Amino acid sequence: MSGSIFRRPRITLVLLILVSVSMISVTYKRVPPFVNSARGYVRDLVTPIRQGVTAVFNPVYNVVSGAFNYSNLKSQNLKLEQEIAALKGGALSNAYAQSELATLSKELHITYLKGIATTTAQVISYTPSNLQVSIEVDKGKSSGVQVGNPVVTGLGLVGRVIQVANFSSTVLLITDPNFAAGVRFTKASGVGLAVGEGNSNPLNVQLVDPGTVLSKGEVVYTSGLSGEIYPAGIPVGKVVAAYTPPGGLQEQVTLKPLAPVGNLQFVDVLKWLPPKP
Amino acid sequence: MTRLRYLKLPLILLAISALERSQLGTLTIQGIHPDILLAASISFGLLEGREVGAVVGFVLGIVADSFAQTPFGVSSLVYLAVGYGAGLIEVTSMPESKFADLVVSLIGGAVGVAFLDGILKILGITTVLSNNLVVAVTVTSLTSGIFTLVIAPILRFLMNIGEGERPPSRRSAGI
Repeated sequence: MSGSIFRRPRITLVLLILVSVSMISVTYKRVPPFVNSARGYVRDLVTPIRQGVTAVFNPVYNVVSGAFNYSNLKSQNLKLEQEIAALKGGALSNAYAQSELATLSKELHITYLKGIATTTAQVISYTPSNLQVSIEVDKGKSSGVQVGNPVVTGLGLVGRVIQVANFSSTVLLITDPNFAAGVRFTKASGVGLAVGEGNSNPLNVQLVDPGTVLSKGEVVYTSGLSGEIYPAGIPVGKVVAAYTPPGGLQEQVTLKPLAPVGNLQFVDVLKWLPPKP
Repeated sequence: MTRLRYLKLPLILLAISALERSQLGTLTIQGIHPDILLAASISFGLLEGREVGAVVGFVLGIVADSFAQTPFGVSSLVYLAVGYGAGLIEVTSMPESKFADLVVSLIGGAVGVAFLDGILKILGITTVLSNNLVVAVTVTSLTSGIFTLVIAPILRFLMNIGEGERPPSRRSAGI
């Protein structure tokens, strides 16, 4: 093996395993700040190159994707046009409801999203990992984004910021199995805990009292109860199914996220952090 | 592995990392992402031997862990073990063939995902894999096989490895 740099396979293997196990031990309970810094450097190194690669491959990807999905896009376009028309009509009737809501909120001292500063961020990639369901956005520490900031679109909750580098951030999506948010129902009085179930799966709402009457299509909002990590009033999803199994101690409720979490392009990062206890 | 190849290696790994984070990131099959970094570790093990496979797996694992919230080192441990395992082909008497590479890739992809899920379960971490392990093993195994068939010729070209040429340490490698 002359001219080789690597010479001792088993020693190399043992050393690398030891390093890996040490890293796991150090970062298992609590991630030290220097590891977060190292993560940030790797991300800042890969992100610009990734953007270059994307710029090269995007046109090819778009052509291939467009060719195979032309009929889908056409029907989607038609559907969106119909939705826009319906929304225009709905906006007129909403104006009165909004003024009424503002008055009530003021009287009840409820803080809704209206008063929260936001920054718009572009989604630069979906995290290509099976370890978590997340996205990368192009705003980071330099734009004032902090770990824990909720992320939304005009339609509803998208997730929350879990890692921040200088010029990018990672957002844990609501479909991740580690995602959980307290929610409340609109028509039925009651609260629950919405938990992600993985890519393209509906959310599961836990801890719902059996017998709670929920209608299909009912919109569910973040509860904003004490200790909650999201502000109140963010739409989360629509009820897809709700039933109490025989002898069940809680109602089985599934939600379809309102935000198009599988196809995000721009999101709003709310510069809001949960109040410290 | 000559010094020139050694210099090329970081650039190739950076390109693979960037490629993985490009549009390919949006690709999911049954809710599972094809693991390109795992497949690349297998390919390097097959082409350059167990030691390079382990080192490449370790480095790509660091990249994967940098973008996830899981404890640092989990992906490194899995990828380096799989890279090393794929590279063990160099000490077998298996003849050089695309079929052998495909079989090793399929097995490597399946073992890698199962190993990753096992470690995460030991650590008490829930991921997408936990709910869909069978699908994840199938998807990752198949995509690793396809990826190895596609990327192996490119890596051969970039790393100046001749067709039919196994790692130089093959069958003569010892500690």
